[in-house]
Amino acid sequence: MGIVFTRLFSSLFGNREARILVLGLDNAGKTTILYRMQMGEVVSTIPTIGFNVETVQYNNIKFQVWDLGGQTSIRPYWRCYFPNTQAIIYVVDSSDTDRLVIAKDEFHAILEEEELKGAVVLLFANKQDLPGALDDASVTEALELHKIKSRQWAIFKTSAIKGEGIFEGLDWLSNTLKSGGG
Amino acid sequence: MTTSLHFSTSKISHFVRTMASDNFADKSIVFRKLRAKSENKMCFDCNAKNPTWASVTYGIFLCIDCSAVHRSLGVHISFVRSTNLDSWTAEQLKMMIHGGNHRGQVFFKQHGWTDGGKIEAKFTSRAADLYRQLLAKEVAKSTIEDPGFASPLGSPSSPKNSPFRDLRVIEVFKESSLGRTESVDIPPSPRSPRPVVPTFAKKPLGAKKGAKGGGLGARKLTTKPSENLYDQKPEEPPVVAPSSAKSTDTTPKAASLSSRFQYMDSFPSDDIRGVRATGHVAPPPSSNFFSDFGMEGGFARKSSYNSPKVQIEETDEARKKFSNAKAISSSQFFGDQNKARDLDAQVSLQKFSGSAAISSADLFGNHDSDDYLDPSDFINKISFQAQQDMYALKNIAGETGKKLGSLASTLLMDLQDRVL
Repeated sequence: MGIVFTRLFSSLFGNREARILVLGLDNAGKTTILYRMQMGEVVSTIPTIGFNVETVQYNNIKFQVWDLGGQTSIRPYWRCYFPNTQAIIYVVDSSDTDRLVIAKDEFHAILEEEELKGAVVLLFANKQDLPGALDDASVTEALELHKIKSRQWAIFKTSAIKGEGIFEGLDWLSNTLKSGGG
Repeated sequence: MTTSLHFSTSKISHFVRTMASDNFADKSIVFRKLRAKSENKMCFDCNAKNPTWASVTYGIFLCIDCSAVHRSLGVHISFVRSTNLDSWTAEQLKMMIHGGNHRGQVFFKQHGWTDGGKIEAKFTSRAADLYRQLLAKEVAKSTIEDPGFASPLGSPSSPKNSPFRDLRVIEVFKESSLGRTESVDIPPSPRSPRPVVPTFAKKPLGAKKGAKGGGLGARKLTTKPSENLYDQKPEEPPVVAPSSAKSTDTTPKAASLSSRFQYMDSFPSDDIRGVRATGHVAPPPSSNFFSDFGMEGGFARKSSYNSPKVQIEETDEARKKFSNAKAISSSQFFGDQNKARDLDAQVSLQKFSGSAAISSADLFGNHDSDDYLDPSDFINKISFQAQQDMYALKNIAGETGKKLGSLASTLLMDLQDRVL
């Protein structure tokens, strides 16, 4: 019976849960960001074949964060994870200017998905520590974020290696989710 | 040694040509051929077996662990793709064809990088930089020769590093880079300075080959000018002739292909050496030198056409508005548009410029504090808030419903558990 009360309590007062997908092209930094959020450390990653999933407790929200592999041929499998997703974290390698167009196309394809209609979108203009990285405004233009009309979004400059910007993004995300945006 | 090298050179170009006719439709064919070579059966960095990852930048095959290190260096150092899981453009495949683990190893060895060097240091070194440019130039050149690839070139998915794309336009490098394929196996002393100062270093090498007397071309000139001139003179005409003929021919793309085939046909004969030497001798006559620059001027303009940055600059609205902000949110972006007042937008933006994050709630709070508003804006604002309130109400109702439902289900489950 105790378990029931705990569940009841947590579901009524704070401690919400949210299911988050971390998406983006290969080598955008999704896995590094996931473990930066979860452990607060920089881990050395190998290409993700499949997915990583971790729970991150932040601002009274329990984020269930799914980090999906970004290689070309496994991107079609992203859609298997779309149902019941409250938010998407879309990670862009800001220094990979040649592939920004591909990043844009993938991004807008995701936004078209019926199952993600209600999901809020948090973008990370990642790898700001690298030379030649575009800032968030440039990435905003490159990804044509102004075309998003019916959804809340925000973009943050991040460096997963330096740990900059990620938790600011999570703050926005948790506030947006709490205010019913998801 | 040299004959085998000629062979491999012509084989590569032949390979590229055959692949060109297939239009690189199937990457698996390319990789099947490349992986059949023993050199590509081991990871370039750690010798692990059967690598399935690759650094396009250097045309080398890697295991997944070493690919991880390459990825961490950033795409400006090494652009990693999976041979199985990623799609490849024709250009990227060409990088692999022109590169290969053996060639890379030879190059790095000649620049003092033996096996087992630390990956990061190795690939951020000057040698890596040189090899990167060398490969890119070759691929660029071969792309010009194969007009069928004109379209994948311009495609956004073409590989990294704008200099590569620029250099593609340099037509005159045709022969010289063929020569360079061979030059990989030349002892390090003459070759290492060459890529650093290309126009300078090529001269002595070419002179050496033409004179066949050994010693540096520059020195010879001062001591025996006349003899040296005679030595070189016979060699020069064939140098200039093909290059100039080619540059005129290649403007229409079909023509360039046919001329190239002619050139290739003459390759296996004894002319090879002459043709290859031309690549090195060529620089002294100013025609080649200046046409380099003429071409570079051309490509500079062209690159500004193609580069993605320019595309971005088409609408620099966001960049202007948010140049100071650390983050940009949807509400902010469209708040601006609704107001249609740049001044207000600026003010509201500047308020947030110092903060790390900008939330929609913050922004609306900011709106409230604005005392003067157009009537239309005022109405907009009120209706928007009303909408929001309605939304919130709906949400609360929905959530309460959900919670009751979950409460009921948990109770039920608990009961079931107890019964069982």
